[in-house]
Amino acid sequence: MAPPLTSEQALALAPDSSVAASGQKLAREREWKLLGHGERAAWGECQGSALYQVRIDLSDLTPSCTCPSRKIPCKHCIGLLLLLAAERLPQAATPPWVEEWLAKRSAAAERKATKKAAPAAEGAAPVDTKARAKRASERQERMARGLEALGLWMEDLVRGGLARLDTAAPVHEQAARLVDAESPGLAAQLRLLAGELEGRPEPRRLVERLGRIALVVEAWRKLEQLPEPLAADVQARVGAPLRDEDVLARGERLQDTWAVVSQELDDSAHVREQRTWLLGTTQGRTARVLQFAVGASGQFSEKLIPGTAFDAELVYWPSAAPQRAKVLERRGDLRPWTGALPSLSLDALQRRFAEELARQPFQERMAAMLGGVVPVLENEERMWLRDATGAALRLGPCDRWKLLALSGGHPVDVFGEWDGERLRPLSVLVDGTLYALGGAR
Amino acid sequence: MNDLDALTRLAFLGTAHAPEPDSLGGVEGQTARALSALSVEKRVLLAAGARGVARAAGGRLSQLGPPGEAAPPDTLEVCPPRVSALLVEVMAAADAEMLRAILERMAHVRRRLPPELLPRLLGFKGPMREAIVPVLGERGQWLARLHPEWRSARTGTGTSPEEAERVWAEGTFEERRTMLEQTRLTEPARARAWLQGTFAQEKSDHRVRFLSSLKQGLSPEDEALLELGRKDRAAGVREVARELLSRLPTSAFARRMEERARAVLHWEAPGTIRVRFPAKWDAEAERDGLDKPPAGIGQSEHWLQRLLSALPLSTWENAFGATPEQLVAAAGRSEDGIGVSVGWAHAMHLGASPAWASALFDFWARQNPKVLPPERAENLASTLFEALPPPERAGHTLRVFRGAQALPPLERALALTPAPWPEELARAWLSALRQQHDATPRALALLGVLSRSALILPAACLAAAAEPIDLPAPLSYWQRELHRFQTSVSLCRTLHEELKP
Repeated sequence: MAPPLTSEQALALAPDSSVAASGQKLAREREWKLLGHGERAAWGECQGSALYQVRIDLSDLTPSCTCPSRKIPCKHCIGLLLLLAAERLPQAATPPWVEEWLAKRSAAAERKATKKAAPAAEGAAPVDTKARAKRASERQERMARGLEALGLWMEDLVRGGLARLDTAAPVHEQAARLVDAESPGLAAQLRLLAGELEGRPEPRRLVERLGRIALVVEAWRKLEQLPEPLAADVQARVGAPLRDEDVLARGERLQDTWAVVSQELDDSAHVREQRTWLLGTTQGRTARVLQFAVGASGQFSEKLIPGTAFDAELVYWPSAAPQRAKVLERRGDLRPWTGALPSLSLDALQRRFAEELARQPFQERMAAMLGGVVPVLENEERMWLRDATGAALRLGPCDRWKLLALSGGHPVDVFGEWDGERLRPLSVLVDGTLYALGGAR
Repeated sequence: MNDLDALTRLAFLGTAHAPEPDSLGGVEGQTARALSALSVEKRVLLAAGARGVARAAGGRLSQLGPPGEAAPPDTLEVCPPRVSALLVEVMAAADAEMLRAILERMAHVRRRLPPELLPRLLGFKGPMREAIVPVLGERGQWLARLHPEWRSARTGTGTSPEEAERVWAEGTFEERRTMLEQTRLTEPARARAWLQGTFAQEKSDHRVRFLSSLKQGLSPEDEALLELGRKDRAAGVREVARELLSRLPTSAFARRMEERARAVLHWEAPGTIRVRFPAKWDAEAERDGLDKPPAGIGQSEHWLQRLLSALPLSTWENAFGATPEQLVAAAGRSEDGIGVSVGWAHAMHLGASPAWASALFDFWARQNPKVLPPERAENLASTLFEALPPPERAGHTLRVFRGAQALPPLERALALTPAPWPEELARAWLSALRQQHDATPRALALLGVLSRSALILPAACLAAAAEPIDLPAPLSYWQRELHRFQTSVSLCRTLHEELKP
């Protein structure tokens, strides 16, 4: 049996680098009393301050450990996952303590499923619709005021001239106000603008970025006149979150075998944010899954491991050009993906992005797998992806030397985010194996 | 400002100063005109937004000329995944010794690095490069050619003579040194000519390093340049020059030293060596190193060291027709015995000899502690031990281990015996380790080995080393060290399993 994940993937599951490092230290047989794997699980007993029992459900690679660590997965779990990845676990009969845990997990999953099927279970507190409506209208009020103020600030900026904007401070201040006005989406766009000001801003890009924020503000004022999915896009850009039940009720559903093609983790704040791109292996649709976890011990609810694939039905957030999605229901286990993936030519990428912008002009980028492209290094500053005809697009920052090493000047498939000017490469597919490239945001 | 497009210029100047967006062309012009009911600032903003979207949607692809050569197909097989995981592990632990061992083993069984690890390894500078070059494979060689700092990591092949000249003329010190060493391997005369051309302008510590690189491919033609070094302002340069000149038996320096040394040492029956210095050295002597001694060393001992270290030991066997053992014993009968023995020990760099080493070890071990303090005897023995070729050392270590030889001390001998140990020594050490009960000096010497990596053990002993070892209570302090050592044993086992010739 091929290992269900690579060592790199196992390390990527660690909540932070110190757990990853201690996990590596435990990835040796001699640290363990009992090791084994069966059809459904892998397990081991590790001697720490006490004897800890570690087990992994092979259907979704969920690990669990009896140690008291608040970091989850803990170092023992990472150690066992690494041993699993390195194929160092002997085949053995499943011990009772692992059987019991598996049985508990199945029971819990069933309970969850029945709960899902009966959302308005008896005994649930009645929803106070009045209070909810009141809260919603207060929120709308705050947002309207916040966007009005932002609009005025931008007009003042253009009246006095952007040349006066020589620091990012006033932009950060506006972003903070928008957070207070319950418009985190716009706040995030302003922070990107501030980021450009802190670097060496290109005047044209600065003006256009500001203009695109102005488009969102203008569209939000005319929300009632917009067709349904586009209105949802504008709301998402401003940052009004859609409740899960609304997503379930209105979002497009799609069944496919989804390959996890890239993953980025932002753990700079207290809330860790994980951004994962999935690519449907038969239909070629992409889906961005955003997950949040609080603190180092918080876990992401959906286990998505780069380089693996799973059968599932996804539901997309309502949009004129759907991108964000969540896993609605998995069918079967995740497995390593080693094969081709649907890809686009450079021309098709351009065409598709133009079509999407025509449907949904508020988005900034789309993700795609580009097929048969050769990374070409022009000089220290520039790198390109070139196709067989000589057409090429510019690459944004990424681990260039790793990309060059993996391609060797031969055509490869590169997955990345395209904003019409640069492609931010996230991963590269070589001979059926995906490698992360860590494009800078 | 003037190379900005009209809309950007307008936004940057401010509509208060130039309020006319309607004359704009392109998408922005159309947008601005369509929104005539709005304020001029809003029109500028929305026109900029519309143009931003249009630009993203209508971006054109560039056209590039033909790309450079792709990497040729690799001929070596890539190393197995577990080895690549090991590489990542030892790089994370910054364990240079283990990293080098893995790379050398890979080279030995003709495997190459996986492409994704190439950039990290090519980033290494210094001596690790030698171990990396053989496992780069075609892909790695190709990649190194693209990166200005990695080019010198490749083997000398493929660097054009012009490129080599350029690096020597313009490179950083490290690049120049690497280039000099590489060129010295293939064209020793050219390397010498380079150095001769710039020698006077180099900094003194650079002169030392550059001159040392002549050791590779040393020949009588190098004498003129070494003579420059012998007369250098800096003592370090002079020392390197003298060492290399003494490796050229036909050099004027080596001949002068031999002449002087033979005038100083006299064989007197029955079997004694007398030391008699002349009343006055000749004019060149001071530059040949017969100068004032450093603090803590007597004048005659200093001179003996300088004189005797410049001559191969066989000189004395031939001159006096005696064996090393007889010669060392004869020197021991004069009052300059220690000085002579130290000079001879230093002569090992011109050719090590097991018979001489044994004779000197035994001589120092027999000295009265008042004449030769034990600490100095141990240091002398360790220095001599290090001058021995690695295979020789293990033999002496085994003798020390079994009590057949007193110097160097066991701890030093074990520490200085390079990996991999012969099986006999490794097994002896392992079984002795299991028999220790108290913190005796011997036990401490044996436990000291645990601070090294398991690379000292030959493959045949790894299984035995992986067996649990229980340290008794008085030695429990070493538990952690033992644990670390056995971890590195399991790493080595993986390595041997995965990389079979």
